[in-house]
Amino acid sequence: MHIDARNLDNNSLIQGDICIIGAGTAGISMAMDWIDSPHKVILLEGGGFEYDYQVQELNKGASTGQKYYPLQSSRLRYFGGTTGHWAGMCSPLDPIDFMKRDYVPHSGWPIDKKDLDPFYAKANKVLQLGPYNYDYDYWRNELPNMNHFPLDEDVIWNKMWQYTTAHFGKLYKDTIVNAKNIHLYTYANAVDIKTNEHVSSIKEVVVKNHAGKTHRVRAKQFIMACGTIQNTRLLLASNSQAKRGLGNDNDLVGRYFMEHLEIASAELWLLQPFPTDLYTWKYAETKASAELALTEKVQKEHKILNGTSSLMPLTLGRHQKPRMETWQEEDPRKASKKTFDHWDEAAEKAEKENTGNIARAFQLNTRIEQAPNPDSRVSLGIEKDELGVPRADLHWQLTDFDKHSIRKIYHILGQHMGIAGIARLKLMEYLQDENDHSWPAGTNGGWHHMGTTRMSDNPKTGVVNAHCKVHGISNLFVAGAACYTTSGACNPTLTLVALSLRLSDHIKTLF
Amino acid sequence: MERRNFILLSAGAALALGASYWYLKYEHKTYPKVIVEPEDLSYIWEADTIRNIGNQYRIGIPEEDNEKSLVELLNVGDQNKYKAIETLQKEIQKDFDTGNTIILDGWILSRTEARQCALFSIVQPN
Repeated sequence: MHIDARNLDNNSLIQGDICIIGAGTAGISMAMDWIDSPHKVILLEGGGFEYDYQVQELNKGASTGQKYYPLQSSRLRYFGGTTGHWAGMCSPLDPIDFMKRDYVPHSGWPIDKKDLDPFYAKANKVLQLGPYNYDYDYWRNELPNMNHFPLDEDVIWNKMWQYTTAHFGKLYKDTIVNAKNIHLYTYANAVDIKTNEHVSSIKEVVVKNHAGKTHRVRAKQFIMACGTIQNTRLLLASNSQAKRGLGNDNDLVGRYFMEHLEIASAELWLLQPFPTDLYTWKYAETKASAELALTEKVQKEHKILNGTSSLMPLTLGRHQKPRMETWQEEDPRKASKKTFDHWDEAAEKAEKENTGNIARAFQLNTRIEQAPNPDSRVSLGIEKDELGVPRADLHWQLTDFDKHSIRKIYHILGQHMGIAGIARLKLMEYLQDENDHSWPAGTNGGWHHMGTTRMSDNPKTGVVNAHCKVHGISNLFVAGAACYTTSGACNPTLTLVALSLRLSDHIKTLF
Repeated sequence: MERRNFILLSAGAALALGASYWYLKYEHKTYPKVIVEPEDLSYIWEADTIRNIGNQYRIGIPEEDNEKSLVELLNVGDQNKYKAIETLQKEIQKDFDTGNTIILDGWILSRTEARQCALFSIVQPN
């Protein structure tokens, strides 16, 4: 069922069993898990079914620290959320990502990968991926020409990815709208969360829209699923009863903001041609491919973060500007057009140069977890948006440890390419001097916002518990990548869907 | 011939032989010429790059900045060229296995092939 909240009488009271705030990847995945249940699900979406600049502008914010994309264009605020323009790259976290690692401060989830495995399998279906199998040995039998580099498997492994073109807005609109017990309200932007007197449970959520309507939503359980930065913003801005914001007794909400560092790091020159499709990816064509990753043993031995390395033809890499440079428009449509147009131009130039030795050369691009850092954070700004909510301020802060880990990964890869006798590796200039702790202008994030309501069983070290429930508040949950204690190396969507489905299962036990 | 003179003459002859061996080996460059060209790197680099990397090596490690030292360190003796290539390949493999690598202009290279580049930059400076 679909209701446009702009058409309701002002001050309407909306009631249901559970209220999911946000109809993006996490929110839609959860809502679909409740279809045909006896429970009434209220699904709130700030935008409509199509892009709306006025609504999108509500995401605008400021940023300091490491250069970042405009907050307005790094997330989409309409039904389907950021799947409206994502690349569809999926891979699960590794077991080590959940572990407490003494050399990674603030690491260690209260759950491990086995807890998520059944939900990863479900998430694969929701995302229209292949089977929940990310083993190289499986895919080498499934797909042709998946030859792997002959590297020491105790050191370097092939981390598999699967790809989807699923855009939740298009894919699941009819399913959600036609579900009798799912009540989707569009143009219903959550602006405040009201609690009981002791701030121990949520009473209602206040929603507003640009039509000047304000409504209240009451439910037994509330799930915040509006993206890491918006979840954080809403918790902090709901401060009429809890001065520091909800769930923020220990000043943790908004801290430990993490991104995936995605950065060109080295050149790989193959000595001889190596025919394989294992390490290449084409949008909407490739089913599965691999990135080079260091084993758990080697990460522990060298005390470094978990990261992977992907291959791109060097001629292309040399013509591509960093995304942090091309994606600086506030309007996400303009930002993506500018970036994609540039990629097309770069590909055209590269094609002409791809002859001779350089045709066997690749740019190695790092994708690596960011070390959890309490000073990398989202907070509230002074300026308010059109609906009266303080805008977000992002201070993205990297550490020397992040850079040290990248450098070490390529030292190891370079050595092992030599051992295998297949290639030589050249470090990018910013990695060559071990005493250089600066970050180059081409330091990209993956548009992956994670960690600001991190998971921990201890309220002093985390905002939500192992079931994603906000500590100290009985009926408030967070769905999505904000709950990540550490970010792992791979893109967050598959894991956030799995985590949301796990949360959904847990909430079912509460009825 | 008196025993003393014989010893002196023999010593002199040995010195002369040694000197001519040294002369032939290092001044006349009788070592296998193939060792100045790092085989693997020649698949990906032009001569200028090899020379440039070699120059950097010599600047960074001045104690090896001469032909004699580099030839001694490459240690192929007077093997024929095929044997010399094989020996160097084994050394390069060993370097990578043991982490005996060096970073020059960002390239992660085995010590042996870096020395070959250095030798190349001396014997083929242009």
